[in-house]
Amino acid sequence: MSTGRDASVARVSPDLDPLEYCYQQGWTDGLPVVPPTPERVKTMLSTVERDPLEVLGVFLPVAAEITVEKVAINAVLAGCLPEYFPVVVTAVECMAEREGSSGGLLTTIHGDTPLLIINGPVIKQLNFNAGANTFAPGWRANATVGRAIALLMRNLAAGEPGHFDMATHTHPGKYTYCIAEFEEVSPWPPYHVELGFHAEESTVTVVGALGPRHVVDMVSSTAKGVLTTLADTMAVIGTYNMYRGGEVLVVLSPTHARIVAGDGWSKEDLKYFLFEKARRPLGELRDLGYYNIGGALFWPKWIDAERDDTLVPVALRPQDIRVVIAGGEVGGYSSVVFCFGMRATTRAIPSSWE
Amino acid sequence: MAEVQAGQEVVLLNPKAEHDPKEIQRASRLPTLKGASIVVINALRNPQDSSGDVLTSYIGDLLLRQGVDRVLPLRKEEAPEDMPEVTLDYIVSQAQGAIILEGD
Repeated sequence: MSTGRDASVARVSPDLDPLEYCYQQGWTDGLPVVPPTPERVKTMLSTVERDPLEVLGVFLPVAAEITVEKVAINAVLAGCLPEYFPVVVTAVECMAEREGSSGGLLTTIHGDTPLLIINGPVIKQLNFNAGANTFAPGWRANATVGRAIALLMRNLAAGEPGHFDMATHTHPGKYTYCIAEFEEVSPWPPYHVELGFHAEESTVTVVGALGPRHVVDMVSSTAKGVLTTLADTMAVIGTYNMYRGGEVLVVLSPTHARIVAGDGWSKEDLKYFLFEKARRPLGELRDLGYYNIGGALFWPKWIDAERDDTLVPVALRPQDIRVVIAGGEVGGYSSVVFCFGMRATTRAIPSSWE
Repeated sequence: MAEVQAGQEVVLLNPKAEHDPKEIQRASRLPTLKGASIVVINALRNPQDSSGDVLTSYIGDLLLRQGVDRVLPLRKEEAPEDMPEVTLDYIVSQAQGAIILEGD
């Protein structure tokens, strides 16, 4: 374990509102923050059994030491309750595991940003929203845990937008991007159990992600129908994924999940179907999108790049299609999230912290 | 927990880096690629992944088509670690420019 430096101290004069001081220092994302007093940071740190100066990672391009204390300061800024802090630390550890990718993710002109997916008992313990308005504001846990990661990346890794962070457009998830799986209504084992974790464990998954693409199917009453609509939404030209593979996250609504599972389909059946159907003829991809930069350069040998009628899949393996169940219990809507820049990485939150 | 309000001195902890990010002056742009030697470094997270070699090779071909004399491909193991000094010395002694591929 390497040890970093203590956070430096700022003394804000009595005639200046501490919140305005935070703005002046460039510590915010444009929205108000909670001023990080030593008392608040200490309370945050008390929830994890970690040395505050332990360095969790060093993300380019700012290459700051991301100490546990720095994570706590940014969690305070974001408005986290102290009990959220173990989730935030675990998310940072996921990113540290992909340290080589994190710098690219934070500085790319493409605009991916870290998306957090929460699984396990911690969802209920901390009141993460997994139901209606899955990607929307209104829940402190989702809002502030995602924001803590976003602020930390801005303050310690990517710097201010336009300096190191050169995204052309990016998306609103760069403020905060944190969802949870609606495990109790899912007809299948939760995402983390699928990965080999125990159901009683709580986990955080972090993946580089674009914004969610809404998918409407209020007509289909069969698995094939719902999944055909989803597959058509996934196989679009204007994504890296169509040319380069990578991961696609399908956030399936409870309604759609019930229809698919009701036909006796497993989650694996669903993934193989999407892998088979979310394809475009090579002739439609040629010389468009990302073709001459990615495309045929990276396709495996089993994709016949000589023929225009070859059907190119949006993911190169069924397991690169990730599926979680979330959203309101009524409604024929799901979402597709194109992921790139950092592969999905999952870690368990130590049970002693919960 | 201390209340934070205007009218009293407040101590805050810095959420940013404890050092100023190094501003490295960019080298001047090469006036021409013709006759130059360029290093193309595969510093991807998994340098053994064949897609890194494909991309390195593709960039090398593009450079040669632009008149570059020599393309020197390199693989950097352990992507998060610093580039070894010996490798840096090699690049400086052998090439006029370098392209680094980073990420997953």
